[in-house]
Amino acid sequence: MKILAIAGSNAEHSSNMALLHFMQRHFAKDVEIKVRDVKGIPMFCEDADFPASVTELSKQIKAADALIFSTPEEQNSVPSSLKSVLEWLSYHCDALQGKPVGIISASTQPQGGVRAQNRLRTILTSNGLDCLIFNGAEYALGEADHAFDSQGNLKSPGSVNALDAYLASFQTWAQAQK
Amino acid sequence: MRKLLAVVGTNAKFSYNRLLAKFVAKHYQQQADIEVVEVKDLPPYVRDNSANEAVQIWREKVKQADGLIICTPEYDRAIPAALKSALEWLGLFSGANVMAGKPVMILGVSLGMMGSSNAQEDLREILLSPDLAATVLPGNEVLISYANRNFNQNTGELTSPKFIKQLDLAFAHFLDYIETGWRK
Repeated sequence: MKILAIAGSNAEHSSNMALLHFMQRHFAKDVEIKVRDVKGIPMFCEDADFPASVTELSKQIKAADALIFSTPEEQNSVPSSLKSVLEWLSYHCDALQGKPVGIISASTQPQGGVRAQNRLRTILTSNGLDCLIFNGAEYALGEADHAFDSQGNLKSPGSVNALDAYLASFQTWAQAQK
Repeated sequence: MRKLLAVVGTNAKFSYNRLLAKFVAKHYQQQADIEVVEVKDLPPYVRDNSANEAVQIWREKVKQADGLIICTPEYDRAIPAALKSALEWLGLFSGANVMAGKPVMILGVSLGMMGSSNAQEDLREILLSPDLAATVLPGNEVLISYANRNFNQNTGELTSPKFIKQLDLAFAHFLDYIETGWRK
């Protein structure tokens, strides 16, 4: 299975990117995970031409069997950087249609960005996106600024176990959607 | 007279929410000094980037205002990213922190029957987050649906007596709320 994992951040250093890079290495034997963020994608505007960067993203999405969004939390909601990308994907674009999608998050807050997950889940139910949303497990990484060691590995065995359980469950579900 | 901002919550060239912001500024000009402001010329919020001149002006306008009236469309069951980005530039985390305690009234127009209700709910939650900590007028929902039959297509003015009545009441409550409910 090929998974495209998208961090919803446009920041230089993102704990969501750190989480996805850890997943890419940690699950390398079982699954191919391609990791990217949303840096450089222009703000959605309905009057603007469809950007080449979103065309490229659409191709990556279509080439993947399933998607995972790892969202930061800004103001108890999804960051504008991720919302803008979803607006592009809902406008004259069918890349997400019928695609199995998982939602995870990382945050410096102890709650791990679960409120951004809630809002993202609501956004993903919109008609313009029309994807399939995984609800069978949850994963949120709290206090993410202290969660990784110097090699970029998750320090807490509990966090790793929870991530293992999440991905196993997600993969089983995503396979069944084919 | 109180100084208010009517914020156009989209970067689209044409928007009924812009027409609503303009209507509000004109219709209540005897009661408040209302300036229509745009978010379309602001750069996308990036945590690492410092505020450019447009952002500094936006922050200063918000800081000086006695209250904000935000007119939001609904994109994918939420507020547009362009509006979210503009709000991120105002937050504590961005270094500005100009929204704490600021009175805000939420308005919205949609083409269909929902009247931007999901976006208004999203906006309310965002405004009440610790990063913004605004003082949001409770209740007083004005959910303007079916924009193309409730606005005059030539003048761009809101013409629906039902919605104007709702707006009049909500605006009166907002002015009262600014005087009595603003806690810094």
